[in-house]
Amino acid sequence: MFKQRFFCIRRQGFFWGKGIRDRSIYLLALPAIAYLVSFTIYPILSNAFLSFFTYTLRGDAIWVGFRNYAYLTEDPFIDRVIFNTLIYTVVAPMITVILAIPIAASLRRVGGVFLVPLSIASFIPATTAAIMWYLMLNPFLGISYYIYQYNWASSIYTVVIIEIWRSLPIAVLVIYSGLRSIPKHIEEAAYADGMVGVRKFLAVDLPLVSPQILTAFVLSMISGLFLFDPIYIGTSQAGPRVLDNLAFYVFENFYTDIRLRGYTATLIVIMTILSTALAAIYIRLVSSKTILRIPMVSFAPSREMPKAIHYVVILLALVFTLLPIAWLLIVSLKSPKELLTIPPTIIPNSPTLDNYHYVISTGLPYLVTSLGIASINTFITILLSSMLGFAMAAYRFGGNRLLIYVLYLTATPTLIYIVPLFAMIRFLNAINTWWALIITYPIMTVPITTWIMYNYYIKFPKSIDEAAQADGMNRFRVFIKIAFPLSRGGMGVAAVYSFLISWGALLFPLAFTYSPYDLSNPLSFSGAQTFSVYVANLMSPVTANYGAVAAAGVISMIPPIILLIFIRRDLEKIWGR
Amino acid sequence: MLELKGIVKRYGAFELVIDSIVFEDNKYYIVLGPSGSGKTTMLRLIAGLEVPDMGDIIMDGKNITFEPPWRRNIGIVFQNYALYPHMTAFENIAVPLRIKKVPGGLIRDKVIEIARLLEIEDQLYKYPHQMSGGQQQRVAIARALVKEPRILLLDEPLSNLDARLRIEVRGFLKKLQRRIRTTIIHVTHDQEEALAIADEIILLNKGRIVQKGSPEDIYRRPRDIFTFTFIGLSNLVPAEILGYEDRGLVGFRPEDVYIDDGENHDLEGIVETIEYLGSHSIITVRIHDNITIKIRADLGRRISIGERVKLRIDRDRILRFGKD
Repeated sequence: MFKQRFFCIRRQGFFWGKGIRDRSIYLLALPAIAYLVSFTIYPILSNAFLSFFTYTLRGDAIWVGFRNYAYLTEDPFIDRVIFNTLIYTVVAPMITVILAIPIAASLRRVGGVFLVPLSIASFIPATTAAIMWYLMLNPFLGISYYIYQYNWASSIYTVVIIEIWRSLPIAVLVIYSGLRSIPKHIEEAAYADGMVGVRKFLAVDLPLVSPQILTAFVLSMISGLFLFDPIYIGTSQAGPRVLDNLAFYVFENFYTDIRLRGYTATLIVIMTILSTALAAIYIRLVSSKTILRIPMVSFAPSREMPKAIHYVVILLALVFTLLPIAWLLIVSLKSPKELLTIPPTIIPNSPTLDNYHYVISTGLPYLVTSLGIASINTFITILLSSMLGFAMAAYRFGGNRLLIYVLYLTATPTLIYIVPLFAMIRFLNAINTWWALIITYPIMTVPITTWIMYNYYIKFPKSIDEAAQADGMNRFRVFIKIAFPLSRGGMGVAAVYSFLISWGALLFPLAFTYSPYDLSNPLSFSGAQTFSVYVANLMSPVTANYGAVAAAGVISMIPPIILLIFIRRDLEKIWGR
Repeated sequence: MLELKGIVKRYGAFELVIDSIVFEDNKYYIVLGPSGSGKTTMLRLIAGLEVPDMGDIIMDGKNITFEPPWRRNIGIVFQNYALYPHMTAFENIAVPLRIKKVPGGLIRDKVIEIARLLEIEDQLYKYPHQMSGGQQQRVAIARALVKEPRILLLDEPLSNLDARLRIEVRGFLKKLQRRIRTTIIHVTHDQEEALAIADEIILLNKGRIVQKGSPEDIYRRPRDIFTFTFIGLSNLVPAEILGYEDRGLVGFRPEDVYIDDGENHDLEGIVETIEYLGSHSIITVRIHDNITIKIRADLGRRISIGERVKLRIDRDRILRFGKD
């Protein structure tokens, strides 16, 4: 009996399913896995270790046991930071989802064409999103002058609005695709039972899309917990410690004083625990389809709503989405003098392209770095993640364990790796070079693209793969010769995703670089501040060159909008899950 | 020669067990069984697409149990053909040779030779989506054969074709096998197909081999009730009805029953239904409160529903089964 059991285990393989004599599969999976392990698991462990030390100015570590954890209770800022974190992580996602539900419902009634303009907000970099809102809400120079004069800059609710603005399209898309996947026959049954309009929506549609609503909520929570870019921009307007959440507070500690590195690590441990909990909920949601029961509301009218109401909802959503973008365009065309007139002009008197000239001439090295790094990272990401995704989908490589690990990483923002990564990059002597960004950017992109490619290859016909094996190809060659040429669709979506994330990234370049790309000595690849950093720097009160900020913001939107137009038909594949 | 020895393969509650089976060279084997009988699993084990939990697969004296498909000398034709959609027919057929690094000129000759054999020379520069199902299938067969495999595996190759084409292709397959002289292992659930082309049928049920033999063996000398009822039309009645003394069952084929108005009949009953099949009819006769039998009637005598008929059965052809 024992021998028989043992024999079966050996043949089935402990981890990768089949007992066939084949090593070629490791060629597919190991590059990505080796990368992910050394750039995620190692930093998490190393960070936990660092949290037991404190540092001298010279950088020597001193063991302090749990004293960093004890300091959490004494930290004068921690109450404020925790309060803000809760607002961003709970209140903002709630509002997002509450707004997203009617928008998704209206979209289904009037057609999905409006998805494309509504999605812009999620495509453009978070830094750009933040500056356009701060420009618009400036009580003297922005539209806010005409609506409600208030010192928006020092309010955490400005950050909440920006976060809602950025995450709303994703929530709408997730819920919209859920509504669309409700089987036709269920709807017809509802009509036959005499339910239409609001009553049907509450009784049938809402319970059926409750998994998507929860998913949208958890996704927004994860993004809210690690909210960074708007706070970074807002803090330059409002002053320190006003808008901070945990994520930003971590970064400030990390950035300002090496002696605080142990405490930073401690804060990161706390965040890692929080994000792991959220990721666990997210994985649950992805893998199970629980349907919430919603009590029947008898007073809801069972009557089709007039289409006009749906159009009004969409119109409001479009205004909310496009207004800050329009204002950004307007400001970017104003001359320095006109910029400072109060009240602000709505239509520029004498539109000028001077701001763009300024941005092109001073921002060129940043643009080169951003484009270069985003392209390189997209290439590396697609290579690593399509190989791993294929090995996982076609050959069950790593089984459920690896799948859950990848999903976990997609829901775990990269801030938590920052301290050990900084140490690693310094050890490699790569601080402030392109290399620093090239080796760290895939952490942001490989997990999500692996998940996209996995889902793409799950639908890859098994018999084509088996025919290729019978034709004499090992599994690596099956990928290279057959799967790869046939996966243009999946790779397109993954590439767009990867490029957008890389293009808009702010945290890693802020942490690992301090000067622009040295164009006089291009092959050194030293100096690697990205365009997001440039935009953020322009926004600081020291420069306060709002015309240039707006022009830079507009330029930063160009590649994302081109990509949006490119994949407008595949939007649902990106976020629709 | 291919041999499976002591094979066990489990999937949850399902278990395929093969004590021993030998496939000799240059024969046309058909693995036949109802769905879920394990026939596709058997094919996949031979192909190397699955590894058995126990047992060995031996080809020409070499143990290939753990060899992956690409190191076994086999060709497979899948039910849905599995052509590479991004390659023309020519490129599809050339793949196995390219992988083997056969020189370009030789590849051309071989592809054209096999295409001629399969009568698809004029299709070579089309993409799969531009071809009909039958043409795609021939390309798939060409691709499987071009590297001259020791064994050609066919997984339900006829099930995606319409009834007329199915009969044409099955004749073609048999002819092809005689010309290229290779071993073919063909999996199907269609017993008529099996009887029509096999040199030897391997009948599977519930993960076990029930019988192996020539089509005539299987049809005329079934070893148990499953085999008897699975293949062709059959009648199964309690032995007592035909005057046997034991409590078992007896079986006979519809064509072994004659309508005989003479004195010397075995059974009589009332005609219930008549299925007109052109060359003959199949008639259902109720011979007892809860027993009906099917008989094959030529069109010489007019029969009508409700008529009382007397039947005689060819005693030599009667099969006796123990009660189980």
